[in-house]
Amino acid sequence: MAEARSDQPILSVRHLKQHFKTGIGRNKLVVKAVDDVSFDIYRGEVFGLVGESGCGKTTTGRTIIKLYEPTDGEVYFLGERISAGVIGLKDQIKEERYKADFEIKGIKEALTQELAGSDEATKARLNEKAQKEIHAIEERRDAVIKTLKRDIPRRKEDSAKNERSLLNKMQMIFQDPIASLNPRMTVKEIIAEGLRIAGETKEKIILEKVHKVLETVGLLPEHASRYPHEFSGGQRQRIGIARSLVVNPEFIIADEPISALDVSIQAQVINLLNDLRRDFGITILFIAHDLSVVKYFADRIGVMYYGKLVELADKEELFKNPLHPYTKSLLSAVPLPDPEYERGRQRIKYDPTTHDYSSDLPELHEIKKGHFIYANQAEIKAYKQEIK
Amino acid sequence: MPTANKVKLSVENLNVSFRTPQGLVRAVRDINFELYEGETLAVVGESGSGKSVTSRAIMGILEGNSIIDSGRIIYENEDLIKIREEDFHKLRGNKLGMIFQDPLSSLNPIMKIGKQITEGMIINGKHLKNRKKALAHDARREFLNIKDAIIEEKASLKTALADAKASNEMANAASLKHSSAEKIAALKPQLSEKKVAYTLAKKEAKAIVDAEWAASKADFNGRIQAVKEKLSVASVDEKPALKQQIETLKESLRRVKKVTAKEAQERAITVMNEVGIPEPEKRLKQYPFQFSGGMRQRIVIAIALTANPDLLICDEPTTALDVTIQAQILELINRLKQERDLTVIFITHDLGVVANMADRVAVMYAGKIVEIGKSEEIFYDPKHPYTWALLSSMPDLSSQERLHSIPGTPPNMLFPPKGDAFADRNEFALAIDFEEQPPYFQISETHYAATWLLHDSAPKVDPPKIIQERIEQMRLRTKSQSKSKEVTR
Repeated sequence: MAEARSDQPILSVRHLKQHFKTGIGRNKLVVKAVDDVSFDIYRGEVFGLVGESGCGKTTTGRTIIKLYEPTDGEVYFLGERISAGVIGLKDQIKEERYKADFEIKGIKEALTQELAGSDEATKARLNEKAQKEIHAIEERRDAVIKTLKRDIPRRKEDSAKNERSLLNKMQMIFQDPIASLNPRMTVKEIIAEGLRIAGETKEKIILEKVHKVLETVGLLPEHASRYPHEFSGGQRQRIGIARSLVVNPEFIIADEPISALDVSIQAQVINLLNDLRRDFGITILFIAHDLSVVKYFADRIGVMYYGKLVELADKEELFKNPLHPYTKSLLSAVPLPDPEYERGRQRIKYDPTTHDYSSDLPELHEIKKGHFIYANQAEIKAYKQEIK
Repeated sequence: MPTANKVKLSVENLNVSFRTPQGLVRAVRDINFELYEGETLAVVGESGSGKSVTSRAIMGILEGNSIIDSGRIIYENEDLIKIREEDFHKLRGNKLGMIFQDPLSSLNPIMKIGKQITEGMIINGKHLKNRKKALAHDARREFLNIKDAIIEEKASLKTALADAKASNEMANAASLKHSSAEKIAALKPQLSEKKVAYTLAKKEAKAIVDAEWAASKADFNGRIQAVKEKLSVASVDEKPALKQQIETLKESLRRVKKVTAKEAQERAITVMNEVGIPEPEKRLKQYPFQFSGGMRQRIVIAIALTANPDLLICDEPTTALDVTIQAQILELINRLKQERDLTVIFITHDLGVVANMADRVAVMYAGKIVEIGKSEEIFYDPKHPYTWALLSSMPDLSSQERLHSIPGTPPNMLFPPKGDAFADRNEFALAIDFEEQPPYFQISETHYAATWLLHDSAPKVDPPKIIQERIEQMRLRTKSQSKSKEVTR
């Protein structure tokens, strides 16, 4: 599995933020679902994203595929910027204005004080000096805002262009196979919809492709004329996978594709996804909360906690040397089918208040090659000790 | 761990079907098991294997289109299948508790949490009424038994007549009718006799309870009167304390009659503390949507606990939760089990959770228990091919190789298969598996499995390699774990 991986990132996420705002005025509430997340996904690998529910892993996936417009940050896919948030820039402009206004106000106040006790000549001189200072501040402000503003249409343009050609190479598989298939469409219509949107008009080619993709996922061509309710849970998830495969994607976001399935069917779907990555070299972002499945399926794993990526490492490394206390607590909570082991299991509880981030701000650091951790300088020292 | 093997609940030959437009769906077929006091029995299986139906049959909350074809569920010398709905209310409220899978849909979204927790206590808490019923219980049971016998006789006559009609033996019909009429006639005088006895018993009970109530009323009133007299001569400083005393006396009198709202609320707060909900006084006034998934599940557990059950049925309580919350809830259930000496039936499809919780495990497939045993026996020495398949279909933290997926789908229970239900999907199936149902083979005193592979003349089959490897790994892990424990000591 590892040999299929290259060093060239197929997807780069840079400082991605997704904030949801509700309410106005005093009731205004900003939920930072994803807050400054950066990672790369390399061609041919399976990148696992884990965390408890509400930690922002699904939002990250949905923002990458542009189901949501990002608040800030950039997403690069196949070397091109596919989406970039402008709200952060707008905030920066506002801040810049506010800062300049504040400085000008300060100068003006100082001026009135100085003016009070001085004669005409000094007044004129002081006035002139203050005017000059204010002018300099305004000029600097305008220059900064101009560059920032110039970036806005560029970002918007980047977000708007390449929609079809690039995003067809990126597909998504959803969690709930029942809710994500339209009950009034036949399997063929469901699968062909993406092809039609991509511009395929020849009915013969569409049918051919649908049949081929159905065989790839282990269904029969005659299933094409049936409706979703006629299938079992595992088969429905196969239809969902077929729908994403039909446009020949290079990158698939699988959002908890097996959580809603029965135990025996989970294995079928994981095996199918494994075959797909081997046969077609598809890169997968695998979002899940079941760590044993992620350990089995993914190459690298990112752990998210309340909108932050707290640890990112190779799976072997992460399970051998978990550093962040949240990762440790997550690993200690995985139940194993082994009664003796379970009886002796010690669960580690994670208490986010133990971090002291009041002065020393945390960042994502590469502590070892390929092992990233979200920590501040003091903690990094401790972690380095631990890793030795 | 169960200390004494005292049977708490036993299920015998239980068969449950569901009427559907297509025909009868045989959801549970011939289930037998015993539940010992203080143990946790885990029931594992795919969806549709009948594990939830079994637990619902025990709770007496099967859907309307269900038929219990045969079988007995014995709990405290009573058959829960024959027991009347009113009597069941009492059991369900006091002895049997149930926790459901989805904490959001099992709570009322437009009712405050406090009301939902106290509701059951207040409804079940009419002490005087309950006591009257308890006193007249035996007379009522005797009366109802006769009544049931008559109804049964009538029903059996009906079926016998229908059978006779179908087989063209109408000559017998007259004699059938006659004998049944005779039987009913014999029962009739008994019925009226018992009815009289029952009414008498009711009257007696009422007299006793009323007398008791009057006595405690007089007692309390006397005490209140005494305090009131004190109040009339008391100084201003003492007055509030005395008034408070009167209030508490009045409240305790009310509490003799029924569970008051105040009492229920106090108890709700204790239970909420017990299940680990912080600030219960504040939380009582909130709605379910204001709670996170784990907290909601804690509330559902709290509701089940207010009734002080001694048997708790957990129907996939953690399936909708993620790992960390799941671990918390499992720890909570284990702790409550210790503190309150609960007996638990734990239904799940996650074998990791089973390993954590269970003393014994029952593996269900297509409405039958295919293997049952202590959890060590099921995990370290599984015998049934379906248990092998279940164990090997889920990855654990060390799996590398391709997962074993069970081919095909479970059989359609409209047409239950003749032989072993798992035969079609079983790579180890023998010819006889398609012909005849395997009986239970005993492996050890506590371990049974229904597979022909255990028959003397069956070919020797080893469990799949993946299972053997995994068991080997488990041994190593346990060893290293105990070693590291010694080191830390």
